[in-house]
Amino acid sequence: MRLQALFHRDRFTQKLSDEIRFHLDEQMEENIAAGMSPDEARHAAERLFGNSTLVKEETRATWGWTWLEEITQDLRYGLRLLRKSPGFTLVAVLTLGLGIGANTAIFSVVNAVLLKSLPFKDPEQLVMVWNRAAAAAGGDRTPLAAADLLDWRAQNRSFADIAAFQWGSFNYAGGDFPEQLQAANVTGNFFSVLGVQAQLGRTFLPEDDRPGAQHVALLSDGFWRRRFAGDTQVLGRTLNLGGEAYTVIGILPAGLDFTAKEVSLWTTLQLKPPTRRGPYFLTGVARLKKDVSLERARVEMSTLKTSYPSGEHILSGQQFNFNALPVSEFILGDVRLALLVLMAAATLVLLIAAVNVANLMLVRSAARVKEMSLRTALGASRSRIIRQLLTESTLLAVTGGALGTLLAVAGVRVLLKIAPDTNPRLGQVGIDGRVLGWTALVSVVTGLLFGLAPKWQTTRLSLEEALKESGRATTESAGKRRWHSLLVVTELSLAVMLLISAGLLTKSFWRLQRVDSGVSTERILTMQIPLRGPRYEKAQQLDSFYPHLLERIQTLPSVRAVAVSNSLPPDSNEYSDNFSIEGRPAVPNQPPPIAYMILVSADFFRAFGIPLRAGRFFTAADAANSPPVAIVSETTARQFFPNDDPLGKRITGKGEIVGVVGDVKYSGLADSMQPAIYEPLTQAHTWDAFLSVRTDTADPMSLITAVRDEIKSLDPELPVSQVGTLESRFATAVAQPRFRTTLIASFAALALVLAVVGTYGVISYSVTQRTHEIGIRMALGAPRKSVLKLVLGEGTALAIGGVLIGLAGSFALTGLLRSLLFNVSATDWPTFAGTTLVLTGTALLACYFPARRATRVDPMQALRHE
Amino acid sequence: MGKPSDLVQGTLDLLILKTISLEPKHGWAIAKRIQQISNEVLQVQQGSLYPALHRLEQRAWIKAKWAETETGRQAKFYSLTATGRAQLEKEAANWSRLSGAINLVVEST
Repeated sequence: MRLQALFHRDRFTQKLSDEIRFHLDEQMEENIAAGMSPDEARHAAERLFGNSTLVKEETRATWGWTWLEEITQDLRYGLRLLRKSPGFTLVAVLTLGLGIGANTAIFSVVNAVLLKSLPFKDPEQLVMVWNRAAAAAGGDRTPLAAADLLDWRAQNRSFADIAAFQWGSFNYAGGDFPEQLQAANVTGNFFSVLGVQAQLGRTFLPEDDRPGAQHVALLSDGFWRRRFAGDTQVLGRTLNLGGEAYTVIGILPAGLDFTAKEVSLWTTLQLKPPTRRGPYFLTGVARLKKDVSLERARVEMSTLKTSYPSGEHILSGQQFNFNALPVSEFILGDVRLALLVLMAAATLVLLIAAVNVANLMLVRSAARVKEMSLRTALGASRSRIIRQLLTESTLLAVTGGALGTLLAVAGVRVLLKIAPDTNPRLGQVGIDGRVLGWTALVSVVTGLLFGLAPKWQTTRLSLEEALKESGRATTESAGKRRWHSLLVVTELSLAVMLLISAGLLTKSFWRLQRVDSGVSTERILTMQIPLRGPRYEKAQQLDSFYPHLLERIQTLPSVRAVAVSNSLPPDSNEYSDNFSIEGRPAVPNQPPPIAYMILVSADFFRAFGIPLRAGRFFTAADAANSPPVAIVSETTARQFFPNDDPLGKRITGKGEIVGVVGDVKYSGLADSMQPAIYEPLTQAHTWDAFLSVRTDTADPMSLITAVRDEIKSLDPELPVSQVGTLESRFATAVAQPRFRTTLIASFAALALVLAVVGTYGVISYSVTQRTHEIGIRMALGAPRKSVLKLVLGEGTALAIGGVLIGLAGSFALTGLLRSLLFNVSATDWPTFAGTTLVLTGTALLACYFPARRATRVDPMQALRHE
Repeated sequence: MGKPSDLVQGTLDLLILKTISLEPKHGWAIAKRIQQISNEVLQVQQGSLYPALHRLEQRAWIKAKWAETETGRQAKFYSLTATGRAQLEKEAANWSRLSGAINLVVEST
């Protein structure tokens, strides 16, 4: 019966009508028999029967399913209404679509990067470990030395196990073309510390990293699919990596994003027993014991003392200065904060969009007062009207949500295209169930949100008042005006907050780009040439390769200077070491001084335009067999020779300081200057070389082929990688802040446009509503200027209200941005002032046009409305 | 004109059940009959009969059938089901008890 009533509703309804018609006919016949005229008889029958529409409705209610029927009705009615006012629908759906789309796109990134858990077992127990040295290159993240690792493993009680790794690279010639592979050299316990299993084969065992153990390698999922087409037979095969044979023992699972770097190969780090403290090249990964907090571990770490080889200039028993961070912080870095800020920005945009649509709905509901009062008079219950209106707003929101999802799909594609490669875990980004759930939630909540305001308005209307008002154009009631004003102030204040945040980040980015790196970046071509394999096993082989290379490239046309170095500004450095100055005893209980050791060929300083502050540059006379020399940077000179001249002093094992040069950033543009010590390539050796060519032409890339040919003529198997201009390296270094600044700025622009459109709409509507009032004023002799002032005054009050609230909100909230800002205070007053000006200006401009329209009101025309 | 709510809750149901207990009737006839028997005192607004009829039908206390009237028109005739008959007895007994009690109170002193 119930189900029949649902599925055969039309027939049921038809039968009910028949039944009632029969009833009326019977009564009518009786009335006629009693002597009434047919017309009289019908009216009398209908009177006796009552409101037949209501009766039908109440009867249908007894069948059940009315709620469903009513929703269908409401939906149909809502759709018809939306179709009937395409302008309103288009604007509302587009506004919501933009808001929801931006929100969904950012959420899909947040979902992948922040919400999906890291691909490790109990990632919250994992911490990264570095040295922390105030006066050391690398600052808080100075690498560990092998001796640190051994010491620490032996002494600590907070950690279940400690592993370490080092980034590396291999020249792989096994395929069709020589290729340089990004690799990580890890200790044997690395994967057991992370809690990662191989998807095929096995991961490393502790015995794999003993010196002399067989060389074994793990392949990343990506590399395995790319170069071996996912062939399982690859297990047990040997790969020729840089002239040595490595046995493939396993394939790692996909999505093992340890850092942003895409690592293709994992090999073991075979640490020899250290004979001295340095060099520092390892990053530690440790797993906290159960029930040990990071805080407790930190306290314990600060009590440990060095015991392992103290070497010539480190005292035994010196205090460690370790630094530990949760692994999620290492992998996500400031991306977490940047994403949360973006998410907040996207939500603000959505709020502004919702406010705008609420305004539109309010205006529309004012126009529908008559309809609503009529429906109430005909017996519609208040709750039914609320449901009808809710259905309409939800319909809009869901349509907006659908459009938003489409926009988000496109938006995510664009995001992934413009996002820098250094963004972690981007491979996981996509629109999945959780993202769609979020969109649905956001759409419905938005629908309720912007639907609420007009609802409250409409259903509170008293019938008489509405029917009275609907007859003629009157001025808005004070209450309704308050609603409009509240909405405008809200969206303006939200826009202020977004604009200020965008302003701060833009200014910070601008400063970051203009930071003095210490070198001149124009017209320099750079590339990496890792010298690996049997051809470069011995240091003498390097000694014969580099001079030939430099000599040949120097003779190419339009080459001004050419240099080889182990580091490049702004953020490529591989090697830092502790050092001591001859004649100065090491200070007990203080960490040793550590500096970047930069190995350069003689022309390096000339090629990069690094200024000489004292003494001399390296020359051809600083050969392998001449007295060892070194050059220090200004920061090194200031920190370690505050009271005397560094020239002539000797650095233990490095030779005499012959020059002081300007500071150069090797650890990122945002980092402070770190001490650096330069050594001539003839007296120290590096296998990780960058080749840099300063040219005379504006387009240094035009020399690539010539340079490659020269390299090939020296060694046809040498892979060349990271080819590009120095300027592009700088651009990559700021890609991350550029990305987030661009996004925030676009959101802010969108917010500004939406807020201005909203303000315009409200003022414009208010002028229309007040045409009558303005007409009377002008008829009574008010000059046009005072009318202009009246309307502009309203707008100014709203703008000032919005700006003040926005400023207060910004003062309270921009502190959260602090760690994303470079050299800009979170309450930077020029940014605050500028934003205030821009927003007030545009808001007033948005009011000006309706205000001008108001002054053109023809009093006669306006009064004739009466 | 009294609204259904002016009748004691459930009374309309009782009246309907009683009215069709002898023979099937259509809506108009039920209304007419209630009016006549109560000596024109109970003026049910005729329309309000239908939600009640349909509700009773949903509860399966009464059943309906389309059939021809004496004048040859199609009308929906309602008749009691077995549950309906049992319900009628129960409600009628209830009603007598209640009205008797009220009478006692009203007519005392």
